[in-house]
Amino acid sequence: MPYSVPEGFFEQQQAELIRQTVGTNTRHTRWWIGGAAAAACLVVGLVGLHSADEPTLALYEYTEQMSEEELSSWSEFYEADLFLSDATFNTYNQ
Amino acid sequence: MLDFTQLIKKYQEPLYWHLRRLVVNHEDARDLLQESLLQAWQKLDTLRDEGAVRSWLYRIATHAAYRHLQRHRIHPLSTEELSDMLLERLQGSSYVDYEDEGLLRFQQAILTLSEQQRTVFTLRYYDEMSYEEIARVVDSTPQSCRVAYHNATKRIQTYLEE
Repeated sequence: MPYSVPEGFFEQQQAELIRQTVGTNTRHTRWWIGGAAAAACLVVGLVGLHSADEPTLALYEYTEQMSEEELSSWSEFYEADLFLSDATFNTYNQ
Repeated sequence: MLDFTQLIKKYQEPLYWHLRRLVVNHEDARDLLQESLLQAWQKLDTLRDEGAVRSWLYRIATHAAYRHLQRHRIHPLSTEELSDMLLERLQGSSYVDYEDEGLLRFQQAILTLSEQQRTVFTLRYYDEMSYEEIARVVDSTPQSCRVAYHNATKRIQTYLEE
């Protein structure tokens, strides 16, 4: 065939396509996890998180069930979120 | 459950080239590739047979190309009008190697075929699809696709011998 493409075209296309398709689901998951994490933190706060070394069982079990992709999205969301504290993040992401 | 990221990685290039062979312009093929894969993403739950994902994707892309070529037309283009339009595009497109006359002439010959003959020929010749798979892409029968391919090769041969 006499046809060609610009340099890097397929790499750029691939990234864009993934962003527009699978990436949209990731964003929805991030919001869901962020909301759930905020609610979990509220519960933890009500119960009384008095020590960063003693995580509550509910939140610990919740994050244990997360897949790597979900934990990665959650940690990305955390960086811009006001509700998630350093203590909570550092405790459950070692 | 299909991994759509893997689908994109596996099929974006062959789908692009298939579209490019149908519409000639790089920019149009690029836009149609995005349109087709977005459509596939939205309709993923309608795919019944995961083993037929290639023909399913090609079918979406082919129909997108056909719609594009007839877009904004009051009356559908005849085979001759469509061929003339595509040959004109080939003369003035970016990302075309005009120095390789043999390849250029071969592509011109393909563009003189009818829409179905061109699609069947390129799927068989470049994508090496079986007639059964081509039939699923173009909504036809394997026998019709076999005849279309045979007629296409004869017509290309005649064009190249002129």
